[in-house]
Amino acid sequence: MFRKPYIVLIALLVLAAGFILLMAQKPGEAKSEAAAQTALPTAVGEVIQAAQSVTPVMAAEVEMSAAQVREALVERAKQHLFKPGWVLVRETFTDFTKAEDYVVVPMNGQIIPKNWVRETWLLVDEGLQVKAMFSEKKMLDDTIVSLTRASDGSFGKAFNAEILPNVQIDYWTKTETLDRLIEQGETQRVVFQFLSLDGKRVLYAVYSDVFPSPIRMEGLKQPLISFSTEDHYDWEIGQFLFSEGWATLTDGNRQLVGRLEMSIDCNSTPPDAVLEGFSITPEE
Amino acid sequence: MITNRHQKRLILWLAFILLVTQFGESSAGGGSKTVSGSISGITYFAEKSVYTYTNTWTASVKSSTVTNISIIGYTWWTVYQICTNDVYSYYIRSENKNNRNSSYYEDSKYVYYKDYPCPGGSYIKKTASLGNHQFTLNSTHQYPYVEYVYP
Repeated sequence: MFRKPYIVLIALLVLAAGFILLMAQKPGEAKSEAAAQTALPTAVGEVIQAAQSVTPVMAAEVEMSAAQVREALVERAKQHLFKPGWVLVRETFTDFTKAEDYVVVPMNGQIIPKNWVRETWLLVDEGLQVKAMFSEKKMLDDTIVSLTRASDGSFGKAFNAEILPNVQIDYWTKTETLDRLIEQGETQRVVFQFLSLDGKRVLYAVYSDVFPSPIRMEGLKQPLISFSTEDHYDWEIGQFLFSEGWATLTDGNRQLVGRLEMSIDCNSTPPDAVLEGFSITPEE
Repeated sequence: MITNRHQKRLILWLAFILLVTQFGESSAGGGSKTVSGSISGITYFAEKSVYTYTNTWTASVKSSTVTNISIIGYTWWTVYQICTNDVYSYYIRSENKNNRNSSYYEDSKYVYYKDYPCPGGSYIKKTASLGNHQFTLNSTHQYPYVEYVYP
């Protein structure tokens, strides 16, 4: 009497399990290598070795959790990203939605641009701690929209020192999407893969937000039903390279919304105007 | 037979829940606030929402009534993101958007975190959706103010 429902239940569970496995597997996935990803850093090393033997464009999918990937990136960044002295971090955001260039906040006149360049000078000590920072965000026509300066007193006057713990090396690994994912309990499936780009072994991470109902947005031809971010990191040194944001529209087409690029230069010195700024406080 | 039918239903529900939890929409933080009232005896609902996702956050404004009215929408709607150093990293204000002879109006925005970062050393403090809705029936107006701030 109860056999038939149980057969239906088992069939459904088998179907669901098969579907899950199918969704989890992508072309080019190296299952035996993926199974070896149990601990860091050994497992990560194995994946890197495995990636070299695959096609130059797309390598093995990486079966790592967001927390493991974040830990590996931060660890590598701490070893390779900064050198003692001045470090220039340059971020450029390009918005492709062709809506208005900027908005002005009526309460305080603050300008918020859609396209921007942010140059940040960091003074790094021998222990690779950031001791001073100068950050300037500009519109593409060089209009300065925000400026932040901080020092713990090691260079120039002590000013805004309380923000320095927030701009140490891990901040510049740009893993905030991973951080949000970890905060949310890693309920969302993320695809991590290795690519070969310009001779670099690049970690490619895709995160997708699926909206319960379509969202309208100026500059997009149609409402969007989901939004994906594709982050690219230099896996050897843990450096964030660039990220693209893609909207999936109601007709199924994808549209590039924005691109953030970042470069790090450890061989330059700040202009005099930046250096002189540390010797005065804004009130002077 | 009754037990059989119940078991089948239970099985189908379990399978449905399993599929939805595996492949459904992304999980989100945030929520919404709805205010209701009436205009000339017609009930209206005014709602604002903010939902946060991994790459983006969304805000919406919805005005609805049980039957068609002359004008339904909002007189102004602001969406913002403010950082821990009190700098606005996203701000947009729209005015006088509505539908005529309708019972529904909805508008929404999404904000891509990477486009609107907080200045170095600061983080997102609040995201908000606020403003006055508009419900007009002949020459009678209601402009309820609704604000939802997250967290």
